[in-house]
Amino acid sequence: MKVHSLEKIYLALCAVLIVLGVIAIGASVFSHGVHLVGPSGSVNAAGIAKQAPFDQLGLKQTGDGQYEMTMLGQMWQWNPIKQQEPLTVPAGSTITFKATSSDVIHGLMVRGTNINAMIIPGQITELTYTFDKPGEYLIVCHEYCGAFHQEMYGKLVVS
Amino acid sequence: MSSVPFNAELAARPRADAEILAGDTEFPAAQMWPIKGALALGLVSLAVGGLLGLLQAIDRVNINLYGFTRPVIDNYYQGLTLHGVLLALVMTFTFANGFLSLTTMKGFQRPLASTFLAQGVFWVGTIGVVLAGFAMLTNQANVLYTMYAPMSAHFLFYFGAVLLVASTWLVSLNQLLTLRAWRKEHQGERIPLLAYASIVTFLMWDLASIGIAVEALAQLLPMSAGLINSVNPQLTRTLFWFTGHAIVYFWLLPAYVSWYCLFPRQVGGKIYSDGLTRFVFILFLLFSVPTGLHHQYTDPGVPVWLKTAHFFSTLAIAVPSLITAFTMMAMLEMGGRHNGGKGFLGWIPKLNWGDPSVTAQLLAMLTFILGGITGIVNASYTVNEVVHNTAFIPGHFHITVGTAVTLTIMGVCFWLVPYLTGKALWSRQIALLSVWLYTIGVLTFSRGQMWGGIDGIPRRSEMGAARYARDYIAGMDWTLSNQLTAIGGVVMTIGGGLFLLTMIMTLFNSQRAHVEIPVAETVIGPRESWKGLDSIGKWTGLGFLLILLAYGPTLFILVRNGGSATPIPMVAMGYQPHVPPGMDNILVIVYMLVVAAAFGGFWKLLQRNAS
Ligand code: HEM
Ligand SMILES: [Cu+2]
Ligand SMILES: [Cu+2]
Repeated sequence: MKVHSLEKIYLALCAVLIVLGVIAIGASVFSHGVHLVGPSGSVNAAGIAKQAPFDQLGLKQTGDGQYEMTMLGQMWQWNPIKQQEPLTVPAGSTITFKATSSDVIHGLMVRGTNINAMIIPGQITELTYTFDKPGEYLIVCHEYCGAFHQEMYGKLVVS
Repeated sequence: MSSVPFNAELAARPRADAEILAGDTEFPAAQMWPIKGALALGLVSLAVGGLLGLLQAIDRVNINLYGFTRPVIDNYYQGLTLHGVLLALVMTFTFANGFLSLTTMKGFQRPLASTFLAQGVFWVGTIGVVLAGFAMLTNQANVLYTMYAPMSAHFLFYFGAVLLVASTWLVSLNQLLTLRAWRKEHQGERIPLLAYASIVTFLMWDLASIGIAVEALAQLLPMSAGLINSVNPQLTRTLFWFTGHAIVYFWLLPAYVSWYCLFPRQVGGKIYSDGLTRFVFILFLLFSVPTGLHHQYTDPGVPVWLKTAHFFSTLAIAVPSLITAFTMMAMLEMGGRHNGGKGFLGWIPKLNWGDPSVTAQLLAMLTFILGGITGIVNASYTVNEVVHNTAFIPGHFHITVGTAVTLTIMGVCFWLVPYLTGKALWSRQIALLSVWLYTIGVLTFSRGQMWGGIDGIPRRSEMGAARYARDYIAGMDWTLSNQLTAIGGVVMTIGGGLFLLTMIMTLFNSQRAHVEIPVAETVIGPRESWKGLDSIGKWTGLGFLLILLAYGPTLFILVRNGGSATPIPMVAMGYQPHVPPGMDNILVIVYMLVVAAAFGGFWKLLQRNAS
């Protein structure tokens, strides 16, 4: 097949670009520790509130600057977060979010962080992030889950 | 308003046969009306879907018009479901059905093999749209076009969607039968490029649609009808995205057929290389589906190593579009220089910017550069965590399917509607204005959406009603990005409205025109391209193998241990199925028999037409 020499050069440059992109993404994984969520266990659809870790919802300190936040996405709130009562942690804290859904698919996002993942009934989503920057963070559902989807939100204050 | 024939050069050509009325095409009327019908359905979808888009866009600056659209459109999410389904599924599918049926005939210079199938496409697709439309308009299917289980809509919604997909299979079947018939008459010849590209597009989609077909038939339909009351949401989501990435190429490739095979003629250039064009379509056939997990980077139930594998196959699918960028530029430069363009960039103003069909597609290509780049952002593994499910995503796909594809559809309509009706395009100026406005609008809109998305605006969320959007988080202000989205949305709607006005006025135009399908010639012709590219059956088989490799392990893992989770009860969204107690097992058997009979009928049809 005849291919123009200019096009060959162009394709070579494209290949270089793709390789550079892969290197940059590799760096984000291996030197900056950004990871994708993966399987973290499952829950039985019946009686979620009786199964660990969802038998005890809420923010718990598990060590020095270490927290665990267990929460349940449900139509239409992040149980047990109340919209007008922010969660608070000191700056530098590491929070591990553990979440699942008790009805349909939801999505968990904490604005300005890379806490961003799907919450799928039956599956446990586990994400960890260190909040170095003080400020207010929006916790929001980003997957359509019914008429009052926009009511699923809360606030985290890092002081 | 003066009307200008679409292509002066072609229109000026003397007609060979003065007896043929203007507007008569070279193909049988019995196969042409389904094409016209499909196109009409697509344009109506664009009109309705576009208006709902406007409502969504201005909701972002607190203008809520749903009070006026009640009781037809009750709320934001009902409108959004209709917007997504009508534009991303109905408009694109009907256009692909109609346009690529026509290009198949044109490529082969013969009618389609089966008139029965050609008309069946129209009826099956239209009935599907009517049934799904009923469910959506009566507020019984507010599940958005992604229809993620365990949300459950009215069963007619899924049934309608299945019929719409089935209509595309009928097109594909008819194309293959036509190819067979043509091969008998032209032994040893290369498949004409135009027909080749049209057929491979549908073969790619045949492979891609397996996922959604299995999802709909094995889970969603029985769930919504009350035959089963639990599903595996991680599995259904995976089946959806099996189809969901490749579907973007089913939107895009009809536009590529125009860009590669027709457009060069419209700008006075030629198809750069026959072989490379075939190669590009084959790459799409091979790599469109085995990349779908890049939509599930953030899914908890999918093992990370599988996500990594799909990230790498996603890089492969960037290649054909990168080749396309080069080929298009080369072709345009050739055209511009042929028209007298001199100097380094002097060929650009020499392109036929006065021809609305050309301008629409040039703007489509330019916008698609941005679309491609933002697509690479989405696909980039860890970077995806920044943009996943934020407004960045609608920002991205309104410049891909919402512009590259939609503007190409508009551009094609500027010659296609005159070709089909024999009426001259109503107004060249308004047509030009419409595509420029649409482009300016969508660039503003997407700028707002992408910016807002990076700043944390979630997608698919009614901003006007979201109390967190204002004065909730210290230092968070989305006003400006939402305003850009709203203003851009208004300008897009005006542009789209002028386009539809042009189409309607063209239908009523008293001035006639004779327009031909602009089929381009090649610089490097078929004789110099590899013959093996024409063995499309083998390539499809290879594509299927790649899918098995990419999806076999995923589906095995998800099915074997149910994603290690128990079945999840369905959640009815506006429609609760009623199955008399004790009847469900019987109904499941009846349902399975009906599905088997439908496929059996399809098979019979295939055999009868093949003999
Ligand atoms: C007048 C022109 C249009 C306007 C003003 C518009 C506006 C919008 C807005 C504001 C959204 C975001 C909704 C949200 O995330 O909550 C949206 C979603 C969407 N639009 Fe458009 N749009 C237009 C045209 C189109 C076209 C031409 C297409 C495709 C061919 C399209 C396809 C989609 C799709 C697939 C969605 C996603 C729906 C979902 O998330 O379920 N739009 N549109
Ligand atoms: Cu939610
Ligand atoms: Cu994709």
